[in-house]
Amino acid sequence: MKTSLLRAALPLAALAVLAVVPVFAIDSFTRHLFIIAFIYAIIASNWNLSLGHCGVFNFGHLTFFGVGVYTAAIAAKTYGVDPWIAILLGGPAAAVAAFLIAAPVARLKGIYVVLVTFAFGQLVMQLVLSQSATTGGAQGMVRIPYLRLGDYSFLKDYKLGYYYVALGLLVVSTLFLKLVIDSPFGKSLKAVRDAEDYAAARGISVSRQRILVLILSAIFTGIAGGFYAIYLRVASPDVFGFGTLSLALSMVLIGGVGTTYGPIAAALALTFATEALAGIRGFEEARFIVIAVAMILVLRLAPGGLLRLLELLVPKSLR
Amino acid sequence: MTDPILQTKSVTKVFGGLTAVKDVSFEVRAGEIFGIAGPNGSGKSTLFNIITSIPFTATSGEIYFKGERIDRRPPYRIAQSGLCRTFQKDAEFPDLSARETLLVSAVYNGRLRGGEAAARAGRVLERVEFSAARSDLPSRDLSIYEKKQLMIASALACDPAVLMLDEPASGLTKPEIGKLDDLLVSLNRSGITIVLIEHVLSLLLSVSQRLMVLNYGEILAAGAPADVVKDPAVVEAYLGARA
Ligand SMILES: Nc1ncnc2c1ncn2[C@@H]1O[C@H](COP(=O)(O)OP(=O)(O)OP(=O)(O)O)[C@@H](O)[C@H]1O
Ligand SMILES: [Mg+2]
Repeated sequence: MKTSLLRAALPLAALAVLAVVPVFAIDSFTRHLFIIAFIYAIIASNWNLSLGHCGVFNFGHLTFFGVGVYTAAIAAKTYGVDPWIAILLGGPAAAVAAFLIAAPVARLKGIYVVLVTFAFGQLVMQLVLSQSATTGGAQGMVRIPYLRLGDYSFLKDYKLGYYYVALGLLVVSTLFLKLVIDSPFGKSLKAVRDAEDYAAARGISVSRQRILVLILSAIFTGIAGGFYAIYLRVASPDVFGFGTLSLALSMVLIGGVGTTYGPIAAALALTFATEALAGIRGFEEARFIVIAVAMILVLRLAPGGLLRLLELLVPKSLR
Repeated sequence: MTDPILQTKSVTKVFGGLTAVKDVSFEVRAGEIFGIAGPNGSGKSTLFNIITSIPFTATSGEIYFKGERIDRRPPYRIAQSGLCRTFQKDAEFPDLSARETLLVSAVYNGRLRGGEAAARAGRVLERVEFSAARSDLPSRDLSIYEKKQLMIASALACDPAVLMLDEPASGLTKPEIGKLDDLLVSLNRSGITIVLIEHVLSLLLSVSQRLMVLNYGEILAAGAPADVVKDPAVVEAYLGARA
């Protein structure tokens, strides 16, 4: 009910800036970085829905992304499904994966949730590796069909088209998240997170909310995975690796768990930061250590994340 | 005599070597205010816990609500069926405002939709005289008294048939206890059955139509409050223990 100037205006201003970025960033590499950042922003902000808003320590979130990647890749390449549709298919496929993992996880607590969800990710990766006839195994899949819109080619526009599709997906995903978070359902998630017994005493099924939040958090993560496959035209088991997982997790934590825009801001910042660090010789591998250290520092110094810190620095009158 | 709306049959709760509730059978009649007293550790809260299955169920025994057996139902279903409790320890949804807390209770427990749920939240806030200026603050910023008000209010937003209150007066000032007394009587008049655990005897005796005293998990005495407080066993175990 509180509408503060900063909260309402800043995201719109940021969107306006992002909408005109391709006008100034005309090289495909910078645009590529933004596209990757948008994808990470979708992953991180949807992960934040289960982790931040409902307190479910789901360490299999990147599995939903991977399921989206392979669903789109197989649909588009093996079955000749239109790439646009293939991208969207990543959503329901990831939601089904989320449902499968959610049922056993809903009644578990704390570290057991971490272990089971992480194991689930490993299981899916093993499945992908073993079914090489369908998935390409360790080599993955290449030359996945790309996007077309009538006569418009997404391959010869220096990634302009992909930029706007990725930004559009991020906007829709964010609107979806806001809708969920602001609904009574979204409030029940916080109730479950902060006081399980009290929530149950008010008619809220704790395990049902956990199952639902995992499914909802998977939808746009899976669509982002589908887009990733079509955009890069490859699907590789790397997406299940620890690198992507820890990078996405650091975005959630640095951006601020439970905030709406924190993980999105952090995704943009960290994508460019890792890229900048990669440019420094000798830092190609060490950059992940730098990010890990940054994450620990933020957790020590500003547990609410950088966005909360920023809010504290802004004068009250502006908020 | 009316049928019991809530009934336990030989409920027992064992924690390791400790029997916190032992073979307790009692009935609450529809429309009454039923008081429960007993020294610290006598099993009062544990009895509430096993009746609502929050956070644990009974070791043995049966529980009936509105004539149906409920002790195997999931806790949220028990609450939805109209058996709603408060907690002795402070419980809150720190990120939610009072209004949001009631809204969620009305939506999930009362099965109401958007506008209706919001309307009920507003009505309940007025009913417990919650400060309108503070109803949109996050619960973590509320005073102790406001948190206690909110705890009762959220149970009311659930549209309970039976309201189970665990020491609602603890920590309240005299005038606040007076208001609580009025509220309980007025809620009861509007048709809500109340089960009240209370250490503040003046309140308990003023509102209860029947009283049960527990000691070491067992029923020591039960009946009309005036008779129960005169029972020598109660005087010794309960009042004696506190003196
Ligand atoms: N979860 C638990 N695990 C182990 N023992 C417990 C648990 N809950 C309660 N007990 C024990 O059961 C007994 C009854 O506790 P209970 O909280 O029901 O008492 P009470 O009558 O509500 O007391 P008070 O007036 O202090 O609130 C106590 O000895 C307590 O230590
Ligand atoms: Mg107690």
